[in-house]
Amino acid sequence: MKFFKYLILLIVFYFLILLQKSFLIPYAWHKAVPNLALLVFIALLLTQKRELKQGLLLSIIAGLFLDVFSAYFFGLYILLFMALFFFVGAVRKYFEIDRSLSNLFILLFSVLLYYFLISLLNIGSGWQFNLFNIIYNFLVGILIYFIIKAGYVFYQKRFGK
Amino acid sequence: MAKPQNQKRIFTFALGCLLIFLILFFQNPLRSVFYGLSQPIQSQFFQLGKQSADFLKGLFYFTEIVKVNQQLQQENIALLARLVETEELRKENQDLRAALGLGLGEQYKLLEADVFSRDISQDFILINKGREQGLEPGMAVIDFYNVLIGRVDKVYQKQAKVILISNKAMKFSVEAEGKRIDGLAKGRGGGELILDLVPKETQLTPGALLTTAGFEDGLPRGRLVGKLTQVEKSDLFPFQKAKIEPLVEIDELSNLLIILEQ
Repeated sequence: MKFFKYLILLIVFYFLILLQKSFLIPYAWHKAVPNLALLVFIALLLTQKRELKQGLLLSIIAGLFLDVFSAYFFGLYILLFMALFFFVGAVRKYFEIDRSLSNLFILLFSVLLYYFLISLLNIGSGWQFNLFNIIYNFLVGILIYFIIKAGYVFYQKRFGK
Repeated sequence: MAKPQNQKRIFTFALGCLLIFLILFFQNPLRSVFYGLSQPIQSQFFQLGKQSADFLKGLFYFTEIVKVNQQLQQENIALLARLVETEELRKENQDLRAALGLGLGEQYKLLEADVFSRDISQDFILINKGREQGLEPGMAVIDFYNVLIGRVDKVYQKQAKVILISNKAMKFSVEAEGKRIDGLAKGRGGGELILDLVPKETQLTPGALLTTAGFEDGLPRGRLVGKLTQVEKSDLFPFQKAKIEPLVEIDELSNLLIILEQ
């Protein structure tokens, strides 16, 4: 069962990357394109219980295809997603008041951290930080978060898991 | 004897290490396989995205489109006036080419390719031609209007990665409307391009068209690069800088030409 779950996730992330690198290009806003793999990854982390093994596997699955289609060395996105997994896990402990609102804050901080780390990688050839990337991804991220959350609630009600 | 639980852990760890090793050492064939698989899907997705985005833009930016249309009409009239002037030069050039026996097709060996993947943040595209079709790193990539798009960076079996002129790895010499400029066009990433290291005494005119000077291997002379926009001069620095507006946007790229031989 678990194997099929991860296989489906692998296929889903593959298609997300394909969408990101083709369908969404004409939707670019000031050179910013929604990073679907990142947003779905964070939304999944925020809607599910934190488990080390599952989180690390999810990081590998989500980062794998970004690595395939990237110009950086292989494994960089996997490492970045693992860092995000630990970041989300650590920050979630401190936010308990209103889950949805606090999750949106974590989403924003995660997107910020991700693009900050990416910018650090390019610091040798000049600091570059596209603010539109943060805003655009955060807005799309909110939408994705609520879709995944609704899907998760529906799944739990329907199958009681 | 190790416990079954420990055996399982050791096995998982070994499997993980083997996987990392395989991925790191075979990343190019792995990428090539995925690019081959994704190519038709991505081309379809891009067309769908372009059509839907154009439709939505038409709805949301109707008034802006009308304004742009008016501007373009004015520009068109200005260009027609310039065309009359250049027509004479073109004829002269044609006569010279005929006299020397030089056609564009004879000057360059070109290969047509389709773009199937685009990365705006990292300024590169993937094309559907590779080693099998004779591509090599460093070859110049242009569009059908003679605009320089970039150069081939990595070559896979049937695909290649092309870095755009706005990529940080791109640096090349240019000319402004036929006159050599001491300076370098440099990619800044994120679709931006600048003209750097230009001595202060050099006159830079905003709006001037830049073409390649042809001093770099693989980059032929006379390919269009972009338009000069903002010129920055400061007393603190011995050189001046200017922004270059590329003539082609990454989302407009679909068919390209690779210069195989010059």
